[in-house]
Amino acid sequence: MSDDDLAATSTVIPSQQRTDCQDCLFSGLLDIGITCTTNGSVDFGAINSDDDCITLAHSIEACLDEKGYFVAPLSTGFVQLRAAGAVVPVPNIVDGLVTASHPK
Amino acid sequence: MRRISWILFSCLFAFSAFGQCTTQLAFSAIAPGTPITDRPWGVTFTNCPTITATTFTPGSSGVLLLGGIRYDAVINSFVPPTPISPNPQVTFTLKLESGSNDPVNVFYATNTAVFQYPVNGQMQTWNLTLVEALNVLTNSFHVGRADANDPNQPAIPPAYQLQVTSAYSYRPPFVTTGADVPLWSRLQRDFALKVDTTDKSTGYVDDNSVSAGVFLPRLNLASIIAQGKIGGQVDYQKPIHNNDHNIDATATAAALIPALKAVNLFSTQPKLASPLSLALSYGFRSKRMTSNDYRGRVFSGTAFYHLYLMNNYRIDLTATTTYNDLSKLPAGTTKTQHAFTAAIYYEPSPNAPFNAVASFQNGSFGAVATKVKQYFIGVAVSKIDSYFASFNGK
Repeated sequence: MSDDDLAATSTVIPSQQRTDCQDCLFSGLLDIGITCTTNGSVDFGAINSDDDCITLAHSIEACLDEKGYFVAPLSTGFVQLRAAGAVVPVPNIVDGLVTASHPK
Repeated sequence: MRRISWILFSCLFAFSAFGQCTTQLAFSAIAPGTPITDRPWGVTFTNCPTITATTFTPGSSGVLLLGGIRYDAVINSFVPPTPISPNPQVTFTLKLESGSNDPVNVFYATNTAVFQYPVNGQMQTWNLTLVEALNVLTNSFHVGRADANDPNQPAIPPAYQLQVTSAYSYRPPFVTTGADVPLWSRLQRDFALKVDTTDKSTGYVDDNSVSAGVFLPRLNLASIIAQGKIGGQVDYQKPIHNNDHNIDATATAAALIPALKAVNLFSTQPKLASPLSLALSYGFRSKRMTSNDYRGRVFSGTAFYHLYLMNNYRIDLTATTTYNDLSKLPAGTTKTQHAFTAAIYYEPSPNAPFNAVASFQNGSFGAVATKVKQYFIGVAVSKIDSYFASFNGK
């Protein structure tokens, strides 16, 4: 791989990873009946059950795994956010997914 | 009867800032075709200030003891607190021999997990709690003497008491789309037995029951229903020392309806929440009480919905209707009963240390269907740790 290729890869990967994380978040939310918008905030306190939080977590994890990322388990954090009644803007969730994952 | 209750300050302090260090074990779902040796596992450290990014070295080894089975864990990375994980987490993969069973199956079948890792040359041990609902298998058996003394009743002799409880519940794991999993493994199976009786026919508890249910959870049907769950359950209750009994056989269905999503009115930042949820049950009840037989159909339906107003208000609406077609209903008991609850939550900002709640309930509530019209206003104090942390940071 040439230096130019390496430079291109290093600039492309973060935005591609962010796009992948956002796509997987949207599909995971859809699995639990929530249609996502980029300017919205997820009210974890209004997700009806811990089971739904765990399903959301696993759905995102499997999606990112399929796209070639190693992703830290998300279910613990989602269940804790639900218990705290946290409201998290969608861009912040995507930031969190980017931090919790890395290409394999 | 109209009842108004006012509670000015209902303080529920969350002392998480001063809480004990606890650790949680979870795993990531993987796509079909990904080797189980690549599955990420994670231990979350809640309220553990000594755990930092330097505690774990990527590539080094620890030990995960899961249900008594020892797995070598290879540290992958340390994930600091993020907006989606308030506490730090260490991730690792498990070394498995060729042909090994997936440790996820052990995860679902155990109640014990321990993580060990050398810190500063000393092996540290953390007892882990498992995040997901597990297979449950519990049994207990007690025999002993019981005494019952009521000052308003004649003295009765002591009795020998027998208490037996047994519960089994299988909760199916998450299944990725496209994975080939037999139907039996996708079924939630519940069984419970309870015996609480004595050798005396009166004056002591005589409460015995058995129940069994089978459910198929996590059903998604295009965009019409999400997280649907269907199944059936049988409950039987009977005292040993008389002929009273109660048997219920019901079919149940529950689902989220994505088309009826949570509505935001006059909000500049829309909130995303679970859409309308419906839970229905329909079945047959046969009851004998004081030599009278009651039989008939029973139906119950509950709808639950979230609504947002002006950025700071959330309204939760719950409506329940029950239909009771039992023969020989007590005089004055209506066959159809309704219950309605509206709860309004006010939060000044996403990180405010308190929120306020007001609720209104109207209808028939509880096992004895008490008819009430009730108002409630309260203040809940939460996130007290982050509130004080913000002061400390200034």
